[in-house]
Amino acid sequence: MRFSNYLLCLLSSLILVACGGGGGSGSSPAPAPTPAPPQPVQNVQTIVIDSGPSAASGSINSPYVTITVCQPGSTTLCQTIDHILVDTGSSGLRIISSALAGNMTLPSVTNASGNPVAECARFADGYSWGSVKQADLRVAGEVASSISVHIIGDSAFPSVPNGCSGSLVAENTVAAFHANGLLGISTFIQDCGAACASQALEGWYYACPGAGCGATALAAAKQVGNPVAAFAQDNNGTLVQLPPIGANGAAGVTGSLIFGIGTQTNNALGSAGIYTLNSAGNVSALYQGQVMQAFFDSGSNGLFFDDSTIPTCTRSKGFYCPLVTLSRSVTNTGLNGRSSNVSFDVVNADSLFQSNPGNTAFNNLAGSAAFSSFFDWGLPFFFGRSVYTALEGVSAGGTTGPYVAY
Amino acid sequence: MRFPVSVICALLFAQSVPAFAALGAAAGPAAGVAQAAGASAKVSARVTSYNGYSVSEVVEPSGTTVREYIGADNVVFAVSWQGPSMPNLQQLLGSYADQYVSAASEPHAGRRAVAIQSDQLVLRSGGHMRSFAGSAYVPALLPQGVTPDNIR
Repeated sequence: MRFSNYLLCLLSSLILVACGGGGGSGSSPAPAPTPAPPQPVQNVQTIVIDSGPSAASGSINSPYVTITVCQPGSTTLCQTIDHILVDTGSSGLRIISSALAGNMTLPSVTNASGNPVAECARFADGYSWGSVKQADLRVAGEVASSISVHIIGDSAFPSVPNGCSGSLVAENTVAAFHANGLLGISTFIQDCGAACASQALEGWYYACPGAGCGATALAAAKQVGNPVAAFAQDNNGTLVQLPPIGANGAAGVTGSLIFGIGTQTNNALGSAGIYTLNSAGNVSALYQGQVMQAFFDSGSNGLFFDDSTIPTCTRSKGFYCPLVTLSRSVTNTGLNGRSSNVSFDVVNADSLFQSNPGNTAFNNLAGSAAFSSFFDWGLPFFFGRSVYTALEGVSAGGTTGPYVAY
Repeated sequence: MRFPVSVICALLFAQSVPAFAALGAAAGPAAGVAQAAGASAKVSARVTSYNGYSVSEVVEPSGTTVREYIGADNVVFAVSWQGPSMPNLQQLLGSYADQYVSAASEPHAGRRAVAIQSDQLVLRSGGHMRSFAGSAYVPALLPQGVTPDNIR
């Protein structure tokens, strides 16, 4: 499987060379040839929503893609990795070290002093620690060359600094992520951004000259970031397309991760409404009379919001278990003032899982695992929609990001 | 609107030395967020007094605002945070960190958030990279008249 993917990769790059390299200048002043139209790059990667990597099955509502990582500049020293979670709620390619082949030795990313860098990625429920390495990412026909990649849980720097372990729960394994890695494609170009470029912040980047690691500043270009920004084309955002599914969920659901917005015929905005985001990456949301901040996160496997009137489950912890299916709605309002009302159902998760044990995709799953001021539009939102995520500061389909469109 | 009428006359004053402590511990100028953030870190702090409690607020170098709710007995009964980076929960939760670890380590939905509801600790943590928020309080330590809605 790895081999055939690599062959495809090689073939498509050969085709590119053949078609795109036609402009070579000869020595004779021949009349300028009509330039061949640039060959569009294959920009679609299949999303699979299955039960997860073999080392940690049992996933639900987890959108996975297969990617290839290569040593920088190489097309032969490559590894294809399946079950990488598509995450519109974070930025950066992160690979769990155990999913990386032993012979995939990648060069270290270094700080301004030339010391190797490690990172602490902190989420609301824990932290991930490991080296930052340089690699090429190949996905669909796109290439992100020499990007910084977070290798989570490797053994290079086993002593985790207090500013990182202070997040208390280590998430360094395939089991913790239910994935072999994350493809973080949020609207932020870097995971930390300007704050980490200008100062050494605890809980982000660390320089590790010897055994110990100390917080370090790291230039934005060296930070772990949304790899789409590093593509040569189709680099202004992404489009996630998932099919509609029924109330009992579905098995074997596939969709598309399409790179670029308004760059090819398959990623035009069409009739999608644009909702620009605030500096935190959120829109305003009105739910049951409460004003909240909402975000769109394909890495969340349910819709998560705080509603004490809905009973929670006894078995499926974190999810809601109303006696009858509830219909709710939220009004999302972008920074640009555009509003839309989004309806959704909240089903009894315990019954749903019990009645549909083979299904891995559900559009009516919601839970209470949220802070009261947040509404988390997780994967259930994405079914039956085209959801565009436009990078910050970049024009996408005529509008400058950051925005989400659907 | 967020607070009872009785605290609208809140007294607001700046305090030069932030006195941060962990949940359930006595507030004081010893260990704390400001110190842990590094000697060179520029940390701004202010204290706001309400009826029966005060709120000590620090903006960490990362830009995240951390609040500690301190009762008349000088004990921290709640903490909250909001901003681009998660705070150091070990320091904020103190002796309650163990309870957090056991709850957060259980398999839970969502991957991105934690909800703990026990007699000893009520905690919510959520958000996404660049936008986190959460709060924690000890129910038995809530001063009379203070409701969870006051903690934000």
